[in-house]
Amino acid sequence: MKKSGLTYIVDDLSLIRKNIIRDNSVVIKLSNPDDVVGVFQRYYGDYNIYQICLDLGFGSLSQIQFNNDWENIPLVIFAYNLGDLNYILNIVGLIQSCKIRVMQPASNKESYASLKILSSLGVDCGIFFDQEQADSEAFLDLASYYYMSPVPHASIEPFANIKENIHLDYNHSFDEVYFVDEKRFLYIHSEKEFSFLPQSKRLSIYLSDEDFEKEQVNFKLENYYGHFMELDQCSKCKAFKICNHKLSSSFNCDCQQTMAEVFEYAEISETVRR
Amino acid sequence: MPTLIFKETEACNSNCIYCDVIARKKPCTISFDLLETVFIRINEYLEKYSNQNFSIVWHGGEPCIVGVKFYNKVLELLDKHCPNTKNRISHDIQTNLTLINQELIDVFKNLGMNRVGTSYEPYKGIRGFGKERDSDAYNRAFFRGIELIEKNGFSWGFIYVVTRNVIDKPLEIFNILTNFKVKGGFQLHPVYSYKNEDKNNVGITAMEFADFLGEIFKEWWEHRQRYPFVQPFFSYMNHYGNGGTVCCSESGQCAYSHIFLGPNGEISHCGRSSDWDVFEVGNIKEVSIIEAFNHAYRKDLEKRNEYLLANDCKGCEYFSLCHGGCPLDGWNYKDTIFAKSEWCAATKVFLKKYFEPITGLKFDSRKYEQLDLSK
Repeated sequence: MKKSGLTYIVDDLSLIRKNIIRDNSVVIKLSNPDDVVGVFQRYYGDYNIYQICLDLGFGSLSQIQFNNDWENIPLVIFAYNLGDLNYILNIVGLIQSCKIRVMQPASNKESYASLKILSSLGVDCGIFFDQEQADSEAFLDLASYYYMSPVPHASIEPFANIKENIHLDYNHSFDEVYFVDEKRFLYIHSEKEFSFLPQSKRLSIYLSDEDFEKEQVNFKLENYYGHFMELDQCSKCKAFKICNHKLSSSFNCDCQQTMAEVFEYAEISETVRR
Repeated sequence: MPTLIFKETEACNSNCIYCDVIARKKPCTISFDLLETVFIRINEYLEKYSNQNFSIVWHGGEPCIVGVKFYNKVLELLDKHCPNTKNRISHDIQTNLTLINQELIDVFKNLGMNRVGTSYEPYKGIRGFGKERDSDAYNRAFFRGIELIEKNGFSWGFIYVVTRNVIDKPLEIFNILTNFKVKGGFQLHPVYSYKNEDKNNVGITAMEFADFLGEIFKEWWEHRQRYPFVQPFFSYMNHYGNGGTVCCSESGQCAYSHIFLGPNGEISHCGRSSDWDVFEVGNIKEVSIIEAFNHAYRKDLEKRNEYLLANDCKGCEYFSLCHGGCPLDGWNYKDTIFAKSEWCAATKVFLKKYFEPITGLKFDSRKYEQLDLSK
């Protein structure tokens, strides 16, 4: 695979230039909700914006003043919580009409109820894993809601991604939900450097296609095949197919058991669907 | 369709702990002159049998060790000596993938290949480079090979050889293998050794193998949709339902299906018979493939089923499934191909103790007999 065709992730607007982005699609990372509409309008048309990724840190979803200008913006919002639920309920029609996914942290116990609310209101949403460990029981409860509940509801990540890819004949982690996948995304740090992960080794953006492919394989050797070299617990885990080590230290108890149950739920829901 | 197991070389860059080629053979590679004779012989066979196809399995040793020049020569010789028959010749390869490169893949594509058979061993010290059996370097090269063939659109499957090193951890190895190759696509088989020589203490017994398979089967059965293509389970499931045989070693039909050719032109029956110097038929320089298929030992092989039914396998309800197992194992066990394989016991115990109780299926030999009669 070559660099062309991948999605570039940038958090510095000065890097959104034709000589850097070329024909690649782009994820623009922002932290101020006031910038979203302006940035989209500025770059839409000249660039293929895959998504705008708005990271509110410890901010709430309700701090965003949604209006009709947000409607066509492909947006994923990382928020700590929903905030003012009344406000959210009042504008839920508008949110539903937008291309928005709301992500909340697994370490916040409120998130699990909030995500059920959003999902049942028809808003795509998801859980993300931060530094703190998540409650595996709450996580499994959310998974069972997504996979089993007969109540109509929008998608919840990473469960939707797992379900969508469960029949592939190769391992497919849900990393792409979080913009981490060396076959799809590159983090652009400057006009000269990129990396496969935000913190991984920086490489020259001027690599030839051949050298780039070598680096991709090297990355996979270290990160994916590394489990099979070391024969670590992930290589022996029943849920490796859906997890690929991504949640190996994310839970307050046995991650293997947790993810194996998620795997079972996803399979059952697929069987029922068919 | 005749299948030629062609060990164009017995040289190998790996040092697998259980390999009989390393233990018993010298690392020779076929000369281009002899290779030319081989394709003249293959053409001669296909000219005579105009309704047949011919399969070549490039084997070793390690077949990539001979390099791209060798396979370009193969293409040249196919054009030169098989102009009207080359379209009836198919090519497959069994390689450890550690030496594969783009040039080799390109020439394999020109030979019409789109899949690769390989082997995988995650535990250290069993497969590896050099005297120290460096598994890390080996697996790193192997994983790179996997990446390269996948990039080129080749499919692949692998053999996993069950040794004493893993006999006490069936579920662990099963999870590793199914994590490595998600839907399965691998075959579990026990380590075979010449006259049960076991210098490295890796051999296992038939009973151990049966229990090993049985432990895995419980897990496989529960999740068979998740990783369907694990052998021998998939085949047993398929054939309990539809009849038919499981694999070459249990087919009872190999008398006229396989032929082996070694790097010095030596003809034998299959890879294992060559490794163990059984069924020495002659040399391709003097013996044609047609003559090799008419060799007297093949008549003996043909009579083996009848003999076993009256002797070793008399009254065995699973005979039509396993046919006494591989004739070579029979020879290895009792110095005669008219003996059943010692691995028959593994088949029988696995089916009786695990497969049938877990699946609720019962073996119906009539399905097999009908199939055999139709042949």
